[in-house]
Amino acid sequence: MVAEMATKVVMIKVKSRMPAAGDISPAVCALALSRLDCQSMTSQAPIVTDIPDDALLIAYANGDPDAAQALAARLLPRIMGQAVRMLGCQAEAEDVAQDAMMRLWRIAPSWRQGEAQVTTWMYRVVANLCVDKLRKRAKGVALDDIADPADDTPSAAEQMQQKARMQALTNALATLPDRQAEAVALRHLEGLSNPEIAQIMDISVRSVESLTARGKRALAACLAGRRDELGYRDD
Amino acid sequence: MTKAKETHISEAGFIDDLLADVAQAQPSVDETLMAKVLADANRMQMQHQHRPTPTAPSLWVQFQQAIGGWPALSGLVATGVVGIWIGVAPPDGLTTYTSTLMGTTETVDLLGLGLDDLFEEIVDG
Repeated sequence: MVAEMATKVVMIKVKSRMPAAGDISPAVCALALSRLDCQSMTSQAPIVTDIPDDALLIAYANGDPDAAQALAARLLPRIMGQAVRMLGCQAEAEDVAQDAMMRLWRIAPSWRQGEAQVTTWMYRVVANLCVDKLRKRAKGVALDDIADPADDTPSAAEQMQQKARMQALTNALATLPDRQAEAVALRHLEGLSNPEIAQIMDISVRSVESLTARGKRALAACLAGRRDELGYRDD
Repeated sequence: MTKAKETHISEAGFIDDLLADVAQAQPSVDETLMAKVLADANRMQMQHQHRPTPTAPSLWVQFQQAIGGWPALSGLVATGVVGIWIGVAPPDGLTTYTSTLMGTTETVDLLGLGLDDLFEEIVDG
């Protein structure tokens, strides 16, 4: 079924006559078709993972009904992760995720292949939406619906501790200037490199270094004296 | 090392630990959210499909855009019409003016012999 879907993605694009949606390079088509051959002979691995995000997005814009599902399955977990880590709230993160995906669907027809990476664009959109949420959020919001961490079934006390830490961090992030909060989140919560962040935020690497350094200092100042309360011991 | 400096360093280390802990959070994607996102995708896809396909502009539109649109085109037409009018029925003042400026054409027979006479002599021998 997945192989069928990938074939469809490629064939629909090949037949497409929409110039505004950009173009899928012959290399992408060849890659998809070669993967099809490999899969039919060997494994049942989902070959759709080999099709670039932007190729799927263009296929979606050209009317492929399965491309949206493939893109959502690929992007939503990443978006939700970023949003929850920045906001510390499952419900708000879901709002952000739905909004971000909606923006992606809307921009699909004018997306030009090769000009930007979908993930880079998405990191920027989600970071901006999260900062907007942080600005609007009243201080001291309860994080009752926060997602549980993925580690091995933590005890209730550990879960409470994790919630408290997340709440403390997101509240501290909300006090930072927007650009500092974005840079700190992308660097330390998403684990992206400075050049990647520079591309996402459309600034120089030096500016990223400056923003993250100042952001961390501001976080330290905001959370000063709460180390013991949040369960961190002075080693 | 001063007390203030020690405090600053330990606070910085605690922030690193806090960020690392929060970075581990990996929420699952709720099925309801996925359904909402796909419903949005389908709705937007329908809108994209019903949008008129962009077509290349006609030669006339391309010409019009090349010369600068309607204002330039109307100026061009007005100039052409005035040119034809002046050519067909030039005002009296214009004729006098061009005569004064450019002079009039005069035919001068330098040999004192008309061409008709010359040809007649050649033919008659």
